[in-house]
Amino acid sequence: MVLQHKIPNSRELRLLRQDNLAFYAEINARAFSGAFMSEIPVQAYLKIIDEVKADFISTSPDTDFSKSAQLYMDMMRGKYSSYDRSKSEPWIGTDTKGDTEVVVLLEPGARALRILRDLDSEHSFLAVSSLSSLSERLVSTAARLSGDTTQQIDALEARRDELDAEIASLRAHGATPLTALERQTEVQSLLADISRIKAGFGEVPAAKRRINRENQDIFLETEKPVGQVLDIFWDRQKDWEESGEAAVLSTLRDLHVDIAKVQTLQGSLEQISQIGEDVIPDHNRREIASFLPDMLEISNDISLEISHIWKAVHSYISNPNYAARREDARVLREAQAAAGRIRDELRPSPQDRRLKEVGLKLTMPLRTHPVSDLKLTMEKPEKVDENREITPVAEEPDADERRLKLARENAKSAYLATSAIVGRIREAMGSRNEITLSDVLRQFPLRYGRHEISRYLAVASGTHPSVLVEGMSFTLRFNEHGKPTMASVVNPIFRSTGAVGEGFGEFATENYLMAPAQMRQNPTGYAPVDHMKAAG
Amino acid sequence: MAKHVLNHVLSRLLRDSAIYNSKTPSLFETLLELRSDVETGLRALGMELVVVVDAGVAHARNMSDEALDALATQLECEPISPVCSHNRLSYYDSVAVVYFRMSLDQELRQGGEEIWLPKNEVYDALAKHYSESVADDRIALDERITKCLSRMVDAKLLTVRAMGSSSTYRGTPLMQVAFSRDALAEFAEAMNMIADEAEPSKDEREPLVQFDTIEPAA
Repeated sequence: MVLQHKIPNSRELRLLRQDNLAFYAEINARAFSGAFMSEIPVQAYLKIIDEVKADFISTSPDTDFSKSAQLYMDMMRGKYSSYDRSKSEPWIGTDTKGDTEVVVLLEPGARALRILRDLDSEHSFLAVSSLSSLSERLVSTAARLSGDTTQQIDALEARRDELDAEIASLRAHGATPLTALERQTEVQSLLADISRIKAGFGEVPAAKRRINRENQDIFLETEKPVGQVLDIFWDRQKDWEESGEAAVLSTLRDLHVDIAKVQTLQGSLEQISQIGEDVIPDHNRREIASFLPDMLEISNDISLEISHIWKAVHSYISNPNYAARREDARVLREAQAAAGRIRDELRPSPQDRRLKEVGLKLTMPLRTHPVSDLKLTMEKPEKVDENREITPVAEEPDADERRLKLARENAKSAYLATSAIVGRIREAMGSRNEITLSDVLRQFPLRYGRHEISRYLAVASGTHPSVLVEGMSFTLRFNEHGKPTMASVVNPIFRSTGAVGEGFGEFATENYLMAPAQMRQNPTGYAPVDHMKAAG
Repeated sequence: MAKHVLNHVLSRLLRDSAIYNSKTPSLFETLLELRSDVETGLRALGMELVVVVDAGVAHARNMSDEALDALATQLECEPISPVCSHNRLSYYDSVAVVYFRMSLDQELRQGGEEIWLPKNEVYDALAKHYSESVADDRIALDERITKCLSRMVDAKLLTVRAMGSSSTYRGTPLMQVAFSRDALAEFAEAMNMIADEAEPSKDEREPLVQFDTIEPAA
């Protein structure tokens, strides 16, 4: 059997069998190209899904593409619990790069795309191209495989003689224009090479992820002294350096530093793209022009990342706390595995009584202030007014009132949610780089009094880039429970970028203005500015 | 004077349960200088000091029951109860702690660069810990997970950061120190014990129902 064993478990074929293959393949072909060859931000990926959806709807209006881009992305990730792996296969996965969530094309997806891209290659032309270079390759390969110096020198000399003869012929007769067939053959051969190089390069990001995964296994599974773990680490690094993926990166890195060579190659590619205008389709011409810059940039990033991975591993193993950290990591992995058993073997409901007493214990802060004197405030006795009118006990609020109250509470929660607060700050900021709290409140007047102020300050200290400058405050007038109230409030500056909560120190923003004045804390170093009183 | 400083450090540890280098660098520095005295002071209260200098956090944690028994034996006194109470996290909150701790652990292996987990990834990872019957109702499940994350933010175990229209999450330094290795091992052991004793459920005896993959019509 030549092929039979490759078919049943082929992940690529599972992808290629999908009913909606054209849709998913088009999305991924568009997404993982150019500068996004190895990974693409989620938002950009979702945008591409929408674009492809629009194109498909315009060409096949009867087909249902009504689902959201997020849903299609989730399905390509194989996210749903009902996802049947025997029928299909994930195309993509997600990862984080700094603050950005990115989508990566998984290896089977990359290979499926390569198969699809090869479908429109002119294989007859490729055969002609391959045959013309076959004899040369055969001689060279046989000589190198033999390991015989004389044979290798003979092969190189024969090649040199051929080149000399070619140069002499050009000098004598000038260049002969290529026939249409030859032009076509050269172009198809170049495109096929670019496609192969890109496909090979597509495996490199996966290699990076594999290194990370395997390194983790070393940390957790090697029950050996640190010295021996370091030896294993060096062996693995050597294996990587000798791998095909590392060779691809190394070649590109060498090229990256040779600016003159890059310029020559890029010049040649652009020349081919222009001269072969009649035989190269537009999208291939763009591909040829951007091929080299894209590859060099991405390979440089990946090289740096992989180098960082190895350095981090070495630093981790060499750390004096390595053994303890390894133990911690193992215990965490055991706990995670045990949680998997609970899900699969116990199949608990969320309120399963068997899990009631199973959980980690968190030490709570001491409730009584340990340094202050206890001063119990006596409740003021209610003054009984003998003549007061006795009113009947209010009846239970009816369902409508309850619903109204609930709706009000929901509206308040939504208005004071962190995302809503951040949204108003950004809207008020517009294209500027910073804005003060008082300016935000000018555009979005207070609705929920001191509670709303507390929320703004909590967002400033814990969520949004901001700075609190000593002494900056403003006076705010608002109605509270129908009474005009005035408060002097600190005035942080919200910024578009930078550190979160700079200058806030221990400023208790969460309960700011919510506690009695004498209990409110202020940033260290300046006098209290928050005081509340009835407005005159 | 030194006693007053020690008193201040101890009271802040008991009142806030942690001291952060990022928030009060001078107090954190004082704590490092007086570390031995602070440990002695906390020990008398049935507590232990955990300091992770790299993460810039010091936390006063209740000793385990075994450690308290050993201390009582050593001091030849009655059983000791820690002065601070503790909250037992729910099972699913504890599983979430394990998930975020693993991420913090991964940061250490990757050279210390912070890993902020995207909301989608967090929800997917936590959803995997619910049994199929619960996970099928995605809306209710998302609500459960939202509440779980919110509780962890309230307990200062988790930080959330807005990222465009979504959010990212990361365990706080407190999460790194609040749970000892022994406590995590005990949690794993308790789970394994329950799984060992679990009766095969009805679902397991019956063939699994296969759901069709939700795919857009081509």
